[in-house]
Amino acid sequence: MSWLTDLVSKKNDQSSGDADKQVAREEMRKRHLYMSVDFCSVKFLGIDENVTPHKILFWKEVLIGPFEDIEAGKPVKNIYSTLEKVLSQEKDILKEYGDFSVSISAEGVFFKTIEVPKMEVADMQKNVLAEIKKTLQVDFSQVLFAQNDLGEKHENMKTFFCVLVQKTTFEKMKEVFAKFDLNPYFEIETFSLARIPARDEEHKLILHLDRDNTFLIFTLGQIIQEVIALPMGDNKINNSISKALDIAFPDVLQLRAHHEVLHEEGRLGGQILDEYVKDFNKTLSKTVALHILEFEKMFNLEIKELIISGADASSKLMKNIHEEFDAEMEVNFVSEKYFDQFVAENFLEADVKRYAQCFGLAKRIK
Amino acid sequence: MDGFTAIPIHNTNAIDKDTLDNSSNSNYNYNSPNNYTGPGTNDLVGNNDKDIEIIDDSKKDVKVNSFGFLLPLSIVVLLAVLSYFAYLVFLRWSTLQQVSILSEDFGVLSKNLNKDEINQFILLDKSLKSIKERLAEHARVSDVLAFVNKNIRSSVQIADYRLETKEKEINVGLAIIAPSFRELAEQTEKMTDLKNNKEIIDFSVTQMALEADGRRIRFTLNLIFDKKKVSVVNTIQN
Repeated sequence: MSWLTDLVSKKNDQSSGDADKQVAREEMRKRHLYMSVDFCSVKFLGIDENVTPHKILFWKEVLIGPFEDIEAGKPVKNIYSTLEKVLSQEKDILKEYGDFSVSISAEGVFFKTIEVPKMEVADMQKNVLAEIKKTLQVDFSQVLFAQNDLGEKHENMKTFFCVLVQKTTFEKMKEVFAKFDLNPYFEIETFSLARIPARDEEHKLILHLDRDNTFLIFTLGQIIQEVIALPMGDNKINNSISKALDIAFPDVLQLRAHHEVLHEEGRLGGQILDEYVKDFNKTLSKTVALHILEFEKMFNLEIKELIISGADASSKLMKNIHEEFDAEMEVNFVSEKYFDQFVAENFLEADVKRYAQCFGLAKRIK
Repeated sequence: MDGFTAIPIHNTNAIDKDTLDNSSNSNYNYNSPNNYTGPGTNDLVGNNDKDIEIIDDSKKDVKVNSFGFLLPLSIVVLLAVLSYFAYLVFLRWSTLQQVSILSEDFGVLSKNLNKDEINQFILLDKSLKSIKERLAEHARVSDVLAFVNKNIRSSVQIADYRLETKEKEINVGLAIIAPSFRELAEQTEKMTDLKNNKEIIDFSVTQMALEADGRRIRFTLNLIFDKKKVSVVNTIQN
């Protein structure tokens, strides 16, 4: 998608003759607005890249669902019309930035790592596509497909990381931004998150706790090796509480938003919530440990670091993973240490977790 | 004589009745219990002391016993043969009696048989054969439904269910709404496994479209089952 961004930039360059305007435009271009769009919220992170370290100018999160529309109480019926409303609300902010990048949710993206026999590059790529078509028997004219050669993991075999997404998802998203004369760079959030760890030769795992699913992103440095989607998201805790205590889902969300306060005040509600979170963390930790072992066994390697991402990830999840996975593996939350090239005032540690995808986008080498 | 019998050899061989009759000096009285009463008695006995042969009774018995063993044996064998012959005669008689009784019973049954009933049984047999043939072509829909329920992800919503029976296969069409494209892809992955394991003949995904909410995907999943595997007869046999 980046070639589209370049085309827009060249067109703008031709229209400006004045040198001062050119400089101003250049400075404007380096004021970058990074956005993260999923089915629950839209996040904005404005960064001035004219200075080093890059300065964080603006950050904002707008909740859009799944149970609360920006017009309070209305469920999201159409993600695109809702996004349009959000952008419309923030149009003054949009004007302040010259470059835009959007990280979109991985909820609807299919990832698959496959191995094919080693042969000529062109033949191998055809072979990969044929294998994927065998698995995914759908109309491929409706699917966007990308593959990345991961090299020779086993003798005489080549490993490929494949990504498939429905074309209309991207097309509709582009249409929405086009209405605001924006032609952003689009990226699947998984790739944004993969830029959190350092670019080295060590194997790492990024655990991204989302609303409906938890994504396990296995990387070698920043190169994705495999992605596994576990059907265990934060909503699992919410659903359990809603069912067990017979509370409406929005009320559960509100209760959980006040979890810390309830806990600190020693209220019974806080203790009950603690138990649900503890159960979820235990189950998730066990599942993650099993997947790590399987991955390590399959490729005969060792995961050196696990990074936990996701705004709602409990602080106790780290402890649970340590207990479950008794190995010399470093376990960290997404923190400012991974984004030391950015500076900001009043930017909280919790916000770093919340805006992890945006920071990942900002770390992209343009 | 205490087990010994003294027999004068001379007497047995030399004394001849005629000789004795013609002899004027004969002192032999044939009528006397003591046959020889003449003066030669002492001589005879006395002279023939050397010629007396002592025969052991046991030797005598051996001669008698060897002859006595064969006779009882042959009698026993004869008795056994006769007994067996008698048994065979009895067996034959008994069998003939049974045959005779059964013949009589059969005769009675033949007289009592209803030809209409027999015809009804023949017709019933033909009907049963026909039912069996039809059942072999008939598929157990419940099995198909159970299979689909087992192998369709719980996160998807089935909007429509169509089942079509053909000569050799069963086509199932499912209109599905999946929460995302990923769920659709994972569902087709599962179907590929089932196809590779020959649990289904084939499958296809058609009419794929994004729902208005921009998240969910509507599609039709077509499954082809081997009719033999889900036929009633096959299920019964299994």
